[in-house]
Amino acid sequence: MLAELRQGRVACLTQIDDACRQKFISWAGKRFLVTPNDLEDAWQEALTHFYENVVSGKLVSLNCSIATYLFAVAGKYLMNMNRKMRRILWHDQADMAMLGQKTLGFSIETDAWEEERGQLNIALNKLSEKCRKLLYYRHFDGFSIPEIKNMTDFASENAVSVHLFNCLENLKKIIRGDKNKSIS
Amino acid sequence: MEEHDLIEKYLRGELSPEAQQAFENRLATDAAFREATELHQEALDALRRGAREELKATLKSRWEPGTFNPKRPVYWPFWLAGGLLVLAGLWFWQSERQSDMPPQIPVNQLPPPDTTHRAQVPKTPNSAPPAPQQTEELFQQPNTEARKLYAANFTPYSSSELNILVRAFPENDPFSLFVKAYLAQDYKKALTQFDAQSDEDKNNENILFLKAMALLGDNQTSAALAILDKICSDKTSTYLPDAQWYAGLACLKKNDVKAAKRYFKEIVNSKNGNHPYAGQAKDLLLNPLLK
Repeated sequence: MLAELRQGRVACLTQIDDACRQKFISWAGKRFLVTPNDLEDAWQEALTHFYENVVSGKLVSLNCSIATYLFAVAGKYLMNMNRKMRRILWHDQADMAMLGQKTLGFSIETDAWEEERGQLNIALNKLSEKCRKLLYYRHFDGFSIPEIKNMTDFASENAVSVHLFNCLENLKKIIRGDKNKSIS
Repeated sequence: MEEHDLIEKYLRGELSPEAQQAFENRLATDAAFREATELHQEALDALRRGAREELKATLKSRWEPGTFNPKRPVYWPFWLAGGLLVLAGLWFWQSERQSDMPPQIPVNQLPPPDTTHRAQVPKTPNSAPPAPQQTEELFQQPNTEARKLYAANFTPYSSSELNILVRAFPENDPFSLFVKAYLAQDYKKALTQFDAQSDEDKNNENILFLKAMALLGDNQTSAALAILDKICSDKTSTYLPDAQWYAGLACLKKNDVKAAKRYFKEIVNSKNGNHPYAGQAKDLLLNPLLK
């Protein structure tokens, strides 16, 4: 499944989402006193985290089901979000993983960059749609240059590399410019 | 471009140990290079975070509003079923209670008493006093099949002649007061009024029959049955048919099924064949309890 995810990328992730989402809502609903928005955020976080780790090659195998992994990630996210949250039942693998009794090999990033989000969005939005997509393919989805060439209408791998270089340099300039603005 | 590739390979961990060492040495000594590396890292972080946001937005766009509202257990069918059960229980209880109540027979369907030999008892128009007080007392007692049968068949005795009697006598006449109290279902008062009758009237079989009815209504079944037995022993008594019927019912009330059966058989086997309670007695004898 992980290999399929690496190949199928987002389409495969949506299949996992469809298969596990309701189970997650039911599972988390019994354990956490949270709002529907919290559940949505946690599930989004879990799927994104899972996807990122798989495509980046950080996660190559699991010692549990994907659902368990996702539940554990989302559960930990919910716990981080509100440590005073009432926990009701702790007895399955995802619970054990959250309590550190079972290692699933994940860590949740704190959302410390929340304040920077607006600035980064502005910076990314200053890039063209094509540039942004190209950079995402390479630096987030982990596609290789030949793969990107096949996915796009670039004439050669070299053209892909040049475009990637130019796009990233543009982004750096934007970030540097934004930084200078905020300093001044 | 070369520097860009070098930084990218370093950040991806794709450099050889030697190249990595050389890269880190340069980072320590070359401020501009360090700044370029940091900016590169910052740009990649921004990209990653931007891409994460985009992926989250893609996922969210697939979810219907309210998808994450926890599905509460559906309790209403259980409440509905519970409510129906309670209603069914109430209905059953009510119907059981009603079957224990004396049937409400319209006055004009009451069996007319045979008054042909009642020389001292004038006939009166109808009046059928129901007996809520009497039946309420009945329900306070342990219920048995015989009692249920009694309750289902008992109707306080009444006849049209009783009202005429009341009007025929002076208002304060002890006999009139006795009958008035009986018709008003005030059986205790009726029994008190009976004690005020003259000695002659106290032994009058017709008045004694009404006393027996008042006693039955006052739940003094044994006392009532003693009078009814006495009336039944007189085969020429005006109230013989009524006394037989009410004696049978009184026996049922006392749970004396055998005696009750004997009375009802007497009614059914009555020689003249016109016993006013023959049909009811016959029906009762078909009851499994009396078979």
